[in-house]
Amino acid sequence: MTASNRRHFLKATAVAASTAFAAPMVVPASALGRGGAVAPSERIVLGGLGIGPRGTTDLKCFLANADVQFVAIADLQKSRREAVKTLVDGTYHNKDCVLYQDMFDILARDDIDSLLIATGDRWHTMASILAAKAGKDVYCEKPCSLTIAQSRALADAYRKYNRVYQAGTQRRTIGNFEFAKNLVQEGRLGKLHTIHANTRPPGTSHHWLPAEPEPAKDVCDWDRWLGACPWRPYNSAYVRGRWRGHFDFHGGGILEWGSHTVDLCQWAAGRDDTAPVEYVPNADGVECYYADGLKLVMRSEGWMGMGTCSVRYEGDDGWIETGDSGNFILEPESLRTQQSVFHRAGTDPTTHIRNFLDCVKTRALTNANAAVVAQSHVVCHAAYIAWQLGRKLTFDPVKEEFANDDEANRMRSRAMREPWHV
Amino acid sequence: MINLRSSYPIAVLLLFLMLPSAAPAQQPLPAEGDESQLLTVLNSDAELFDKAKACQRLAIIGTSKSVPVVAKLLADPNLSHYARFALESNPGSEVDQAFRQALGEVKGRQLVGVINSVAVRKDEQAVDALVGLASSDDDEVAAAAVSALGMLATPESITAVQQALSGRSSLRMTAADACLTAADRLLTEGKNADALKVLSSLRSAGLPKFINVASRFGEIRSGSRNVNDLMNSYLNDDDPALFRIGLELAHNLTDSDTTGQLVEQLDSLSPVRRILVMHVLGNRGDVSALPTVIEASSSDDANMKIAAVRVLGTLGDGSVVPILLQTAVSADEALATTARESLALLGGDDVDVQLAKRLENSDGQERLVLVDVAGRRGISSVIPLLLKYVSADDPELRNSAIDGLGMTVGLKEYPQLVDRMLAMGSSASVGPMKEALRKASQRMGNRAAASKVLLDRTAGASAAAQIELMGLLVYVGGEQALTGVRVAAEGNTDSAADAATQALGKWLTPAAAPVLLDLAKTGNPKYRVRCLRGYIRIIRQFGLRAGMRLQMSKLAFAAATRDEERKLVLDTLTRFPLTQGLKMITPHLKKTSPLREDACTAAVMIGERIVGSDAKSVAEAMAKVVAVTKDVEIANRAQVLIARSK
Repeated sequence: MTASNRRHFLKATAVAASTAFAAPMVVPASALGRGGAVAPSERIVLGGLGIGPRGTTDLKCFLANADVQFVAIADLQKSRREAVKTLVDGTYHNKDCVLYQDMFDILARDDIDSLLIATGDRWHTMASILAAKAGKDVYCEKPCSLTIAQSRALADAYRKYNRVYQAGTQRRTIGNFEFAKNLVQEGRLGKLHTIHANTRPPGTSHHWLPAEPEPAKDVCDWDRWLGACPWRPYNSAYVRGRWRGHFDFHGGGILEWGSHTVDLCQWAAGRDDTAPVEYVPNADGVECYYADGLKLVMRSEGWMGMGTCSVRYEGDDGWIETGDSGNFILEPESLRTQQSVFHRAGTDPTTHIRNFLDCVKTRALTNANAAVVAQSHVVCHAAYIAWQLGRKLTFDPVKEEFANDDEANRMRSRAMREPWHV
Repeated sequence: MINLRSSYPIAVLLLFLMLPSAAPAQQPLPAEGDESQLLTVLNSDAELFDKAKACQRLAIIGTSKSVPVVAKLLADPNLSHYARFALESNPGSEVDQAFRQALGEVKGRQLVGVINSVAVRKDEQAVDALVGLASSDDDEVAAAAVSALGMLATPESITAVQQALSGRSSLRMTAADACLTAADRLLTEGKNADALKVLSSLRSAGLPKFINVASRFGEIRSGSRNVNDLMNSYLNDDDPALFRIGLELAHNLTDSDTTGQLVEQLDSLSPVRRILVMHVLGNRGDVSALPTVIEASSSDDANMKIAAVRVLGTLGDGSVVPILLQTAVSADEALATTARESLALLGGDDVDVQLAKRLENSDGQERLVLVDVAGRRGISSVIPLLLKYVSADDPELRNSAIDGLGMTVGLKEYPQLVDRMLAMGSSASVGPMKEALRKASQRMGNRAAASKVLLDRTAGASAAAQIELMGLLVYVGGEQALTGVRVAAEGNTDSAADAATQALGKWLTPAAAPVLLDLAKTGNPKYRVRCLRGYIRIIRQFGLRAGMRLQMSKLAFAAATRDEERKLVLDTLTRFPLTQGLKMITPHLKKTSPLREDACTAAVMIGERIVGSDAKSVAEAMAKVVAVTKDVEIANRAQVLIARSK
């Protein structure tokens, strides 16, 4: 193993080994103020937009970092913003967390450097772009977009405003996935020929749930909840989280997990700046082919029990399959004679959030920056379009256009409800 | 009042209101029908839902024929967005004409929407109209027009945006964003000089700092300035925002002069900035900075010292081993921890040799550091020493050595480690040793040989030892381990069968499934239920193909001797909803079945997932559920499915 590869490998192991500890900071708290205390002037001042169950997991990780000061939450749902205040004030032993209903109030605060965005999927692109336009750095839960056009708008906005963006695709910062990626990139599997991404069944629904009386705006502002999505009558199930599976609010099962696993495949295969050129749908998912023949298989079935969000990389000389359990199966077994034992769950965002905070300070590119996640999301969207149309599609990754298929091209974007635009 | 109709009959809707929402039926596209049928819907008194879905379908298939019909809806507050949904993606030039016409006709929010659609379609023929709208009294309309003009990025539209920049205050931020958008588009098209003109107009506009930062980056992209000069200037600028631009440039500039310039800058920076630049030097990976980093590692500034020691781990080589080792035994805990991390990461061919040699002659805190680092680096030459330390009196040294062995031993030393574990009894170190062996077992490249090591030791072992050995076989995995465990499970010794069936229940791959099924049917009667449950666990937890899971479920059901396991199988079927699974349940949808209520629940759960693809089967099964269940909620959910099936 070369020295460089050894570093790669040991870094992955170090991440894995740090299970019981907070993720190491690139710029340790102690380097900015002795004893782990961080001078207020050097803290990253953080706000939150739309924090529900997953966002709460993220928020707890942020709060565990001494160089973060969470100061305000904006959420359309009264119960959720109050729950966040309880958590934050309880952590800091004060009553300082400020509540807002309107995200524009938080965007207008000059003292807030960064935002944690964990709204429903339909708001991710819009909120992230509004945040960039307000000069904020952003950690945003996945998926980062609902269409190809939104993906591109997101990457454009972060290039234009030069802000730090980290998508909540935390598996890019987790040891077993990095170990698998390194096996590919160091050529230890031989020439890569097939990569597999664990996705969910693709379909979504176009139905509306029955109308219910809209709550008071202070309890939940339904018009703002919908944002840029098509109007439909209020039903409380949506705001309780049952928006998933509805086409207007959700990108389908390929995007649901593909935003992690297709992203991991693109990363491992060194394809962060491109996309497959051919998409062949089947009942369970989509098979895709890059220009050089590399095959990407998106499927929900047939995995080997390594946990959710599994990926599998196959080369001429070997293969590896790994998932959220941290375990992996590989061939040949000789590849296993490393310090390759991982225990951090794939769902744990601790190290990924630390990577974001370090990059806010050092202005380095995050592991899941806007450019690379926009690209992997484009792949998911293109695949879902092929699946919806039920036919093979050919795609130009540079122009981001389908060849000779007007219907597919028309599905690359969705008109946004007024007054919203990106 | 809006005339709504959702997609289900009223009776079903009432049921929906009473019940937790069922998963909606899935369909690939928004509505059925060809263009003519969809236009008929739009021209009728159809409900809002139907018209909305017709528009969403026309977004994909609409031709020029649909444009006049849909365009009529642009002024309708309830349907304007759906109309744009249909039109915005339609490539026909008639759409642009329709939108341009609407710019002069619709008002308020609907006009904002039309402007946004014009921007998305990049209709340059709309510039004149948009310029007019940019001075609208309606702030939302004016802002939408300014944004649209920025997206179009024609000379005329840019002039209008620049005028807005110095116009009314409510539009200034929108105008600034529009300038950046226009400049970005020009840069993307290679029109750098034009982009620079747009960006320069932002300089003097008195805008917030982050806009200034964005415009400066645009200028850098345009290649207008010597970027290294800018980097040096920004790193020394009092403005933190400009300093951050300097940092970003420092990350990205790849020319050979940059590292030298950063090194030169260090002394002139404030302490906090120095630390950040030190980390940038580490990230750049240019070893020419190493002497500076080494020097900084003995800085009087404790914070800088930590930063430099950390960077040594990524930038250093064998030459920094003595520095890091000395630092790793420092009384400063943060500094010492950082040095230890750096030692674990350090690259260089001679590092392992140096560390191993040093370990031979070390003691005290240094020895603890070296044991830990050697383990994390996987230095195999220190294994004999680590094995020796397993017997040390110092529990910290002992457990550190055990941990290190878990990460270093190969097949050669594996038997010794296993024997040590078996000999430990109830020692306080047995826990760390078991964990170390689990790690070692997972790493064994030669699974057959590792399996033999463990299996050889099961003969005559105590019941507790057999459980430990079989547990390690789970982590070794592979064909030989599985065969060995199977043999033990089939044997006449209860203790061995107990240990083996426990291990099979935790097996890490589905390969254990056939073994478990056989044992469930013909194995030691004491453990048959355990084996069947292990088999069902594999169906439930492993992502096998649905067809295989169905087949396995049938086999499990047939092998079950108790209703508890039969119920477990019925519940398992809900995890991969299939018509065949529903059919497997159907025979139990009768009043006399002891599985009746579990079968009804499973049938409803599957039905809710497959009603969109197999309404007939679902309707038939749900009729039986309604007839036999005593659970009101399940009966109601079945009724909903029956209604949805029609």
